[in-house]
Amino acid sequence: MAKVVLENISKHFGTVPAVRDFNLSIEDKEFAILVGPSGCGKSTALRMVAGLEEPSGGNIYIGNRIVNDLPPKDRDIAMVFQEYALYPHMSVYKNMAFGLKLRKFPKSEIDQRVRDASEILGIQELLSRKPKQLSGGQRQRVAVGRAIVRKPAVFLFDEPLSNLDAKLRVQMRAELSKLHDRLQTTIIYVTHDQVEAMTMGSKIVVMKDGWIHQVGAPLEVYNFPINQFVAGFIGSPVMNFFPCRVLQKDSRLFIDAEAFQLPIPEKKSPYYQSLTGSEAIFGIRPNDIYDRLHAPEHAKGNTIRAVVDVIEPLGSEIHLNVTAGKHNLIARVDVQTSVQVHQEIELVMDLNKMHLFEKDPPNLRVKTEA
Amino acid sequence: MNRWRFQRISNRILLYIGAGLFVLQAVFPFFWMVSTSLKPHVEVFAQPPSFIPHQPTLDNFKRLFTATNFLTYFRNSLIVSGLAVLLTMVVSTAGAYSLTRYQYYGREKIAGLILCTYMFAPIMVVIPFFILVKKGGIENTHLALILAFTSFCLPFTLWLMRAFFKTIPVQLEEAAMVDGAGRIRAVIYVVMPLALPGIIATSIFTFILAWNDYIFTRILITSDELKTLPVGVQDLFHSALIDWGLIMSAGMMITIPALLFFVTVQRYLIRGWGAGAVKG
Repeated sequence: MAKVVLENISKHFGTVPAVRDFNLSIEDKEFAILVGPSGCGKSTALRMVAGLEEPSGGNIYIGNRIVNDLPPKDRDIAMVFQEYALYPHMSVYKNMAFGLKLRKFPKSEIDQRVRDASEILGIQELLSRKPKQLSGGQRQRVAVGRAIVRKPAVFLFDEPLSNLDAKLRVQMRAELSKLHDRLQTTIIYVTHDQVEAMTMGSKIVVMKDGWIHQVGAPLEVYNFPINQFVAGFIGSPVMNFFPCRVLQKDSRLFIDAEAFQLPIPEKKSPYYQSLTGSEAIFGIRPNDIYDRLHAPEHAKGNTIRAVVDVIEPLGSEIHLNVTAGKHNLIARVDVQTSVQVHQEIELVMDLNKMHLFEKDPPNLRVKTEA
Repeated sequence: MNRWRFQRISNRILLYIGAGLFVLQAVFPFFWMVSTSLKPHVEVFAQPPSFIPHQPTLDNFKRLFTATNFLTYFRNSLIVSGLAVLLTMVVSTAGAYSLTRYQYYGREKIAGLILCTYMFAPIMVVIPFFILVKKGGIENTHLALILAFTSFCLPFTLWLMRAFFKTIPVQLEEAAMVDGAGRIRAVIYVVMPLALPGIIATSIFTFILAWNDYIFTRILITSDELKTLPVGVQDLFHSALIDWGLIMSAGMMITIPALLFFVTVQRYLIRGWGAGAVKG
């Protein structure tokens, strides 16, 4: 039973700030994901929870205890490292038993737990091997096994899948989700991969330059990104952005992107009223842009003309790189779309899914969890 | 037989002949030492020389053990070398660990300076060291010798251990600490086993240096009962008549422990090298 709370946490390395004013509350049994580009402070935040780094300021709670001054061994946590960090001189069995042995568990219990964990992870046959005799995926499993035998209150994962090949990564992703379901333990998971963040977490924390930019459920962050950084970081292919000006005509708001003008839907207008007359960044995801012939009914009407530069047929969908005016866009269109390079095409934007961001916001850090 | 095959075999044969010559050159003095130590007095100078003693005898060894102080020197050598190894290992392991794992001002400079001290030849250091020891009131003691060997080996061993610790990922220690070890247990259970080849290499180095040292012992030790083997054995033979049988048996007795030490620990040198700790 462990809720993890980070309260006003900051961390400096010398004069370089790594994590700034970090406030986050992770509920018991929650699968929280810290995601962001490299150097955003996500690993440092995790290492502070583990006790491997000391915060420069603020408090960390695990359960109801402040753990700032507790060494890692007394925090009731287990961690899976990016490079696995298996003890090379010990067999898989001993690697997994090590933590229990240090805690002086009786031999029979150690044996039971190691066998249970290896069964869950399908590594029973590997118990007598040394880490160097294992493949990357197997080492990953052992590293997870070493964490779960301890039955800790909180699991910490530091980019555990980044050394695996793409196929194995997809498989392990699903397995880790299943594992969380089965163990019902709090997990804090660090990754730079937004797909892992979207698919695994129940709460994702988007970070950049040491700041938390947004905290929320995956779909909430995807659908309502709070700024341009979050919008661009979450989702693949990346959201299209271009600068525009917000205009008001007869009480209706428009965006003016020089090559075309688009009306802002009525229900979105109140949110963007404050931007009227100023420069802004318009954003729309590639999957909210349709070829006119295959557009859904509710989106029709917001047509723009564009020239196709590149066609990427993926089998189930087609990615079009197009130029509209002076803006480059990516559209994810229906496989039925028949189009040629350099050809002009009519695209429809579903403006109910549009986003509008402040240009050069004075403070990039927009929102931290209350 | 085809030409390539012939060439390959003849190359191989040449290689073995060459290697054989080197081995012979290295082994012959040993062989001669063993042979002479087992010869009776009259056979030592026999012409033509006999490679294998006609009447092998242990007489030389008997005289070495009973008529001389050899056993005392032997014990002294063991004590001094053993303790020098122990002290060197403790200090260099702790020092190297600190140099690789902690952040502090001038860390890299310290490491560089340490290596600089190794550039001084022992003969340059020995007189200042003697004065230092005299001021400290420990001249003519084993402690002085142990300190001398340790301070002379430390720069090299510290540097070597530092290189070893650098190859051990910090993550392993962190994993151990999360697993439930404090720093000390993490070092004992995880770092030390992985640094074992380094520990052994440095202990071989220190042991052999201490075991063979002549200069420091000659200058720092004056009492006969405190001398170590190289100096003690040298002092046995100052007369005009050189007893080669006795010298060679003493030589054998000096070689055996060093050889045994080396043979027992060298196989650990190779072990433990296997990585696989982190992605590889």
